[in-house]
Amino acid sequence: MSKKYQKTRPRVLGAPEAIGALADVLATQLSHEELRAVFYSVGTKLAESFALEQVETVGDFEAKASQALLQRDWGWIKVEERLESLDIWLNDAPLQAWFGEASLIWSAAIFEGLFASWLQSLGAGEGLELRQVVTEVDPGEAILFRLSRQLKSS
Amino acid sequence: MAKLETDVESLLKFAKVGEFKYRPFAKSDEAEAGEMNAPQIAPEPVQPPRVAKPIDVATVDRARFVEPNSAPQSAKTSLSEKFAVLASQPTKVSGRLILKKHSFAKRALPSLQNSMIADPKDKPLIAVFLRLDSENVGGKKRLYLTK
Repeated sequence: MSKKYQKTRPRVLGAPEAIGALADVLATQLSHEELRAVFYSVGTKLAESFALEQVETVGDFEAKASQALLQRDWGWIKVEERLESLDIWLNDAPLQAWFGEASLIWSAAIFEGLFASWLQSLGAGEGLELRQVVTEVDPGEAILFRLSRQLKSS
Repeated sequence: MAKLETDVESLLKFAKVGEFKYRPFAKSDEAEAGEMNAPQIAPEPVQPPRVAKPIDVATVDRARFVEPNSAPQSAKTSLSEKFAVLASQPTKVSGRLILKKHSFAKRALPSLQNSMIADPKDKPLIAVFLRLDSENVGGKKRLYLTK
């Protein structure tokens, strides 16, 4: 085992505890609005780490995104096509395990940022926005994100 | 009965209830509560609860939990074409307003717990948790609704 590997190996066993503690500290320092902004940025950063490739259709997006998520045990998505939107259901998200149940009001923004960045990289223009539809997330339930044309806030 | 104070800044009702009952508000409550303790300020007129639901969400079954790798509903739709169709749709404000605000007079305080108020302008989201605390004052349970 090389020294470099020894220093950088994932050490996943205690990671959730450290991440949870970090989230707790952040939650005492920031408002929900600020927490969502931070976690959205984290999701955007994650999207830079693993881009989706060879995506041509809605089905490709669902399959490739789910594959990327499942490989990391982050759940999977189901995409539904609607007249005025593209709905993305995120199932089995690790948010509660990582950040605690109290975080569910804001922590899903990490996937909002991730999905938004993916879709932008695949051609969704600035006129389209991905937003979490309902921020009142119940543990164990799928989380709905919606890509649609939005009025820009001033 | 109840002492009602209004916190304009937070838009939250700060409620103090002389005696709490976990049941829907009834006309008899006013008379009963009035006998116990006259309110210091006049309560608001009783109005139907205003519950704003997210737009389009009513048709969505949030409780579903689908299996991975099941057949996509629209697998062959071109993503770029879908983006173009969506971009051509009329603009509208999407629903993100979740407002479970019940009239105090309805005494629906338990249902307010863990509810939230979101910024109707949708972006950025401002969410406020409501917390229900209680303490015993003179043998009566007093409730505090706080954010």
